[in-house]
Amino acid sequence: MSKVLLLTKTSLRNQYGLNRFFGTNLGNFGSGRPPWLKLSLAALVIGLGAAVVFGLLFTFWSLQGGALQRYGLLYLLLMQAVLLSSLVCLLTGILSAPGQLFFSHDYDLLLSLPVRTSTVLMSKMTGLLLSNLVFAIMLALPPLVVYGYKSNAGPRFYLLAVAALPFIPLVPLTLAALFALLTGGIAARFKRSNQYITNVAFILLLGLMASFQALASNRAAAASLDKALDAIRTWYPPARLFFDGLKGPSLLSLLLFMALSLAVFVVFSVFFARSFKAILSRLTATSAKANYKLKELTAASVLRALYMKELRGYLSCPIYVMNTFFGMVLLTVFSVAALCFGNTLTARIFQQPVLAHAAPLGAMLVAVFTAVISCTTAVTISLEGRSLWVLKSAPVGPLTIFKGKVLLNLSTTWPLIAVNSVLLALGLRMDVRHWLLIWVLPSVYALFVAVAGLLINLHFPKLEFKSPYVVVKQSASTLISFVVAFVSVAIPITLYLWLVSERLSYEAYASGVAAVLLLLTGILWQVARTRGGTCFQSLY
Amino acid sequence: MLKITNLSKSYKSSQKAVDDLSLTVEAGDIFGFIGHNGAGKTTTLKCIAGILPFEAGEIFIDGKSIKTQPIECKRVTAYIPDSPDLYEYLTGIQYLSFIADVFSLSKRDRQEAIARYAGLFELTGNLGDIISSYSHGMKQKLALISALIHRPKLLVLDEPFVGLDPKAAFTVKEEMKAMCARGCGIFFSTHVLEVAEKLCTKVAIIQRGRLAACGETAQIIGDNSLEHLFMELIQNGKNGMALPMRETP
Repeated sequence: MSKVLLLTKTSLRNQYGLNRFFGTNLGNFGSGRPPWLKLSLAALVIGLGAAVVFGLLFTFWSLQGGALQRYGLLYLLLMQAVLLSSLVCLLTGILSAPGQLFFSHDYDLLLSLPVRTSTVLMSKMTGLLLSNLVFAIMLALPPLVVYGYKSNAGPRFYLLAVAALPFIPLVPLTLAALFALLTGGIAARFKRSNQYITNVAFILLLGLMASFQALASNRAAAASLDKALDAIRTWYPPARLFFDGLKGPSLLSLLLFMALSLAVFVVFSVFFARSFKAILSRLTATSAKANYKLKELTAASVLRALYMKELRGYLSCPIYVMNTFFGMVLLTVFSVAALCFGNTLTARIFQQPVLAHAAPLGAMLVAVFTAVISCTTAVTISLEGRSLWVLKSAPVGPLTIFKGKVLLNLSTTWPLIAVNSVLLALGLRMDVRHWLLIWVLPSVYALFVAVAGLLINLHFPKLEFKSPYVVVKQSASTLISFVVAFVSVAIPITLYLWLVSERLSYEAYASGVAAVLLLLTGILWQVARTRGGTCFQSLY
Repeated sequence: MLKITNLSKSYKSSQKAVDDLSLTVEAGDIFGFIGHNGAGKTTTLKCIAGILPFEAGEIFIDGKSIKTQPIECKRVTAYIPDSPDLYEYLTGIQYLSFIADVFSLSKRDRQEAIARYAGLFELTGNLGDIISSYSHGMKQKLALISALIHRPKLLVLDEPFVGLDPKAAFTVKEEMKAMCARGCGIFFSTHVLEVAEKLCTKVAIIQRGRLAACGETAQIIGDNSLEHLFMELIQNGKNGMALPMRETP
């Protein structure tokens, strides 16, 4: 156990740059003093983002709790807390487990050490748990606190809830790791294993989301809460134990929940370790034919060469694609559904019949949201990693390099936004004005987040990493870019709802938002030309 | 070809990685840059390649300043780091085509150059394979080919012989001599003192960021060997003695 902790501690120290944070002497690579200004800025942005997210979540759960309390169903908050948290951990686990478990660059070192494979794997699984714990806490804590407050629960409840919280992601993450093992085992037989893993993860995620959507809209199931709860108790015993443990409260149930979760996690790690090395060795092996014959070569412009390099790098990294292309996949699914279901789609999705007439607005929000979460530039500089010297020693200015990186973002979003806007316009029977809006506004947002993400990454790069997973999912740049994207959507919506809605049509307002965003993007591009170039030059 | 004047570079810590370093590499020079680990060799090479910014001094390549005309300087320079971290997701030929595009090589020039150097380093058959499947030596060879195909005037190499098989190392040395005969300048760091002694027309020894010796190889060494000179300088440095700058006219 101590070796698991030692490996996990070392991995975290490297993954999150803890030495830099705590000001360890870094020799030539930095001073003894941590970069306080950058850290303070990052902490401020992350803190503000967390405050906004927690504020919204607490508000939502308070309203939900109030409604449930009126019908004497307040206890359902406990079930919702554990189920929602488990579901999100399962989804994020499916996205992150293959990268975290199979594509880490430190296996050569770790597997040569005198430790068991199961110990190495357990440390990787613990890393997976810690990186997903934030989602579990973010989603489970607010409903638990609201339940405790509204039911006047004593300190014992809070104590038990806090103790049980870290155990929630164990079973979902084990399922996600099982998925990684199975897909990894199969993918290892294919030549293009990376693409295989990406495709399977996309299909599984869409399947899961479709199943939950179908379950949520199944009126027969929803008609009886008891039946729904019984189904959940049967299919997912840990949720029942968690629920019984906190509702009682029953210490025995809660201890059983913790023991069961931990046992599943540990037993899986030990069994997984048996086939892990073989899968890892096949996955990391690359086929080499060594029979190339030089053919006629073609020449391309510098920008095209940079773009093609970006595109090839993008497609070779499953976690990068899954994290930044899922929004566009969702938008496509939504558009196709709109074509099939027409105007009732938005009402179905938001579960609000009153929204049926506002389908174009709802569709635009979906398109904008999927565009802002499809930001490839937030990690594009970081992913250059140790190969950054190639670009820095090439006779190419930083601006041309930036253009190549922004182009990648636009080429993964703009064509799909354009095609989907047509599908949405046809499905939801929009007029030309609405079609233009649903095309232009998400496109402008995609451009805005592309430039903003690039600038953020230039200021918060992470060039040393053992796995691209760390950069794509856990770097400061990803987090800050997400907060900026979220705020860039939330501010116009809030302003519209509070100040503008009665004075201006949303069509006119959305056009204004697009114009302001374009202006902002122009300013940011100017910053990229000047400060961004200097930032790039100073990277090493 | 390369003129460094009073170069100083410090990282975030107060200690200077390179301190007031000046040297000149003429066209036709094979210039060896020697020093123990952490002496400042790689930092100097990275400053020359335009990878690292520096606070004081100047670097001129082919008469142009790397500070004010970086693109022009990089156009005539080829740099290879000590560890060839290339784009692992590209095939060898895709990487070489990328470099050829970045240096705006014509179709004909790239075709000829890639055929020649890939043949010379016996890598043609592997160019269709993805770089992640290459061994360290193969990556080093690919990096060398990418450095040579655009016919640089200045070659800046950080430990170029590490990982190469004896035949490839011989090929590199012969190519370096041929390039110098064509009027190029070569500036490279090495720990292999025998190679430096036999191959280099000039050498410089760097210690704790400062130049300890610099000049034509034969005159700098005198009756001793480069190894003796190097050890003597290191020992003097360790004993806290001031490093007497040994320079040949």
